[in-house]
Amino acid sequence: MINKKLLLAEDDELLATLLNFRLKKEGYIIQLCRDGREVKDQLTIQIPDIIVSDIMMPYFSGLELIDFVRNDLKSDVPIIMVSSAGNEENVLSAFELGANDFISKPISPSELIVRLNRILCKT
Amino acid sequence: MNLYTDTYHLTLISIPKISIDILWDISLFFLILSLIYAAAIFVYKYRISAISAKALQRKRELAPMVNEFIFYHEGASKEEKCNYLNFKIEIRELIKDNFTRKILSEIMLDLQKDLSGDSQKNLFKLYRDLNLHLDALAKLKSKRWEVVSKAIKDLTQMQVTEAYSLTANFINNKSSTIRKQAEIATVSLKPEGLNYFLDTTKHKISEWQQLKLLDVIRNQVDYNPPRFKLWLTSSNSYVVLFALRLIKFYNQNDAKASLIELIKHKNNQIKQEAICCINEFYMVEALETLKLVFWQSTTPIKITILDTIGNIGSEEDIPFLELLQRKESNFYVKNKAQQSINILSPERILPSKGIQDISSYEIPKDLELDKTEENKPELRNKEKSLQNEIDQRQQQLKNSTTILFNEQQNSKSILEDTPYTVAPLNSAIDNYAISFKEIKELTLVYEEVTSDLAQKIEPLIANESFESASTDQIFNFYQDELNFIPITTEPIQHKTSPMANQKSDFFKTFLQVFNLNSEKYSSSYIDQELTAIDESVKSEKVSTFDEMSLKIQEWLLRIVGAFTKIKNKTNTSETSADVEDEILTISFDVLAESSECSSTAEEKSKTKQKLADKHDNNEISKDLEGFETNMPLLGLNDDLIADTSLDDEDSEEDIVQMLENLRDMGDYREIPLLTEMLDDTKYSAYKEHIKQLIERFSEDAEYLDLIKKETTKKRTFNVLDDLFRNCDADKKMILLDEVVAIGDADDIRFLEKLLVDTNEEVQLKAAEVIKKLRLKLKQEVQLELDAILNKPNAAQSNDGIKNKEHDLEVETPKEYSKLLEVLEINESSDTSDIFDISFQFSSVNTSKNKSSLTQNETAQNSFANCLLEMSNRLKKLLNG
Repeated sequence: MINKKLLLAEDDELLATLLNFRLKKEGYIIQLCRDGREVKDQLTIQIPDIIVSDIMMPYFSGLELIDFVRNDLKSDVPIIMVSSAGNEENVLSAFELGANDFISKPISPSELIVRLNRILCKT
Repeated sequence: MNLYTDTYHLTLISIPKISIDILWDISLFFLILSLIYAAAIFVYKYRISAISAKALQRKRELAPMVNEFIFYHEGASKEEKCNYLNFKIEIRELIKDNFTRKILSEIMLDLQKDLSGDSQKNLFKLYRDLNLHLDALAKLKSKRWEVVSKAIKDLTQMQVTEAYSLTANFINNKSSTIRKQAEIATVSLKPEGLNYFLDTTKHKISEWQQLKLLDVIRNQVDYNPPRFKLWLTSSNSYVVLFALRLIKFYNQNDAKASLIELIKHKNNQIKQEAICCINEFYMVEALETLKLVFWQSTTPIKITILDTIGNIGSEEDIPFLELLQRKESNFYVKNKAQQSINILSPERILPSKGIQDISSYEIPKDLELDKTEENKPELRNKEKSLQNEIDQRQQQLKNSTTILFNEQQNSKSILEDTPYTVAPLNSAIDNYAISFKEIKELTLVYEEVTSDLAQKIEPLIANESFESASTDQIFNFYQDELNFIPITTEPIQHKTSPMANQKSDFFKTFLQVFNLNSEKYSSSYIDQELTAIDESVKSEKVSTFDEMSLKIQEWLLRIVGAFTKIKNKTNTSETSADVEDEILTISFDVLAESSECSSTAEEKSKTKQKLADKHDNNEISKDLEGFETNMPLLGLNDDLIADTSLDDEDSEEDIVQMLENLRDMGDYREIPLLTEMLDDTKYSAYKEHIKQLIERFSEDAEYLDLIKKETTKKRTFNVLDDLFRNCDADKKMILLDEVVAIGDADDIRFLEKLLVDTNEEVQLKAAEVIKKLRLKLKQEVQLELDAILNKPNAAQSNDGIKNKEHDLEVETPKEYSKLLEVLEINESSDTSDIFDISFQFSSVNTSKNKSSLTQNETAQNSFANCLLEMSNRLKKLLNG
């Protein structure tokens, strides 16, 4: 069992539930957030071991979230961005701001797990 | 009062008589109506909210179940399996409710958008397992177009292939929405769906729909596209158009005839697409049809046709395009025609609009020089060097007789100088371990460099009009030649391969060097003669320059002897004439340069520095910079260097710079230059500095001379040395007398040692013998020179030379015979022997111009001169 704290920021309830289900099965301790504001609140309380966030979210976008984590919280917690808007500009922006990885929708939960494990192994 | 009352009644409008009860009734009606409306809104809102809440609630209930099903696998734990079974039972119950079924379908349709891979496959499987696709299939029977359309979309998204035949029926539906959805479903669900769609569709396929269909096809895994040319014959023009686009997309270039035929289609869209295909597949067969179709086409088609002609056409199509350019009035078409012409034949049409006439413009004189010098220094240097070369050649042509005489004088002086006046070698030279292999490499490099040039120069020289050729022509010739100067580094690397493995390779090298046709001299006799020389050459190693210089002379004389013997044997006038002609046309200036080029980088840099210092001339420096990468054939000509002498308006700065360079890098070899500078410089301030340098270098020269003598002493061996060691003064005198008759160049070194002998008589005798021996050697070489060049004939036009030869013959008949013996040449009693080479210039004598030209070439590049120059060049090369 991994027992790593994972913050999952996804506004799509069905996908969030599905990922939550799958990641829990992998042993992650999931903190599910539905919007950017909730994510910020959660992060000010506790910084997880890894963050998986959508880019398009209410209140604060995923890119703003990266900026908040890197510059305001001064944290180097790994961040994986998930977005259906997988255009080059978004991807580049995410990486420039400090994202560790990027996955385009539709996503394969198995692939996400592999990436998570790889990043956590590195850190 | 009455009046007032009457007026009042007249002016005011009378109030209508409405019953108050009716008003109350109407108000009440509207109040009730608004209440009902509000209540309805409230009810509906509540209902919608309730349903949404219920749906959300149901989704939250069903989502974990769906997740459990999606991520269930056979290797799951017992608890998971138990949960899976419970959920399965539960969900079977739940889906009996239509609402739940609907919610479940929505969940699955939502999830399939965000999932990929195995999860997506499991989702599709679950959808069918729960028979949710039956709901969609049932909806296909609905009369409402939106329901049918939604059902087709659901079936397509969930990849229900069983619905293929049902959805295909909607391809020609009257509702465009259903039709479009059915088209996508048909193409998506089965690979053969596209074929069916193209076969059966009767309706228009919009551009957007074509893009969507193409996107569907493109994303299909392992899709094997059919041959779309089959649909080029369709009666539906949209099918033909779509087929053309698919042909282009999948690069199916097997429909040439059909595509060419479709150029004639009345539909411009099809016509344009067909032309695009032709352009894409380079179908040159369509060019003629395109030209025919062009005249009756619209402007966009015309532009497409011109674009295609420009792309796939050839220069044969240029007349058509030029005709168009003249006849066509349409601006765009005319422009495109010009572009196509320039694509087929670049820069055929130059810009003509808005171009100003600059013929009256002048560059300010003060700027002209700067611009030339700053922007094109290399070109300027080349021009200057080539101009010098041309001037020299012209001068040589004019003074051919004088040059011929001077050449002989120079040859003699060089012979006198060699080896006695050779500057002492520095110690580094001893480490070179010079072998003849290196010399061969140098000569091969010369051949490599000059073969092309020689091929062009020879006919030019042979041409009678050469003398009258204008300077510009000659200049252009050399300029062209310079563009093809070979790179020196590669040939050198190539030529450093072991040549000793080849039989008589030295001979071949010799033939190559002298531009002789090796095929003419490939007889076994020649091989034998020259293999012997070659073997001896290979076996001998020289360590010092003097040795090498003398050896080279000896080898070359032996080669000359071999040639004369060959001539005796073959006795073929044609061959002999060829030999002579070829020998006479050798350009040794270039040989020297190529030899220099083939030296090591260190030597080149030394040469460069020396020349730069010597002449302080930017032109030469720049030439030498180019020299490292490109072989300069003419840039380093000695004559050229001589022209760019110190006298050329040396500025004070130049002299300072030169002196600094000499001080830092110069050695005893700079003494002549410094002496010259001392004489020439008008700046008294520098004279003292120059004197100091001369003194310093003179000390070095003395020191090196001592070293050289020591080295020579150690390394040379002479038979006479042994004899002299064990004999008295009288015997020494007798031996010295004999040395004149039997001695050769090697003995001179020995005799030099006797100049410092303890016995004064021996010293004087040795000096006398040296003088005689030197004269003898000089005469030997001269005789050889005359023999090869047919001096008797040439001398007819030169009394000075003739007299000289006569004197030589009278003075040294014995030496001459001896030389012939040494060279293994049979002296013939016949006056028309090989040395009577009257046949050589038989053709030359027919023309005065040609004769003078040949004589000039003889003077410049005579064989003896070549021999002497070669050793001289090598000496220079070794001296850096």
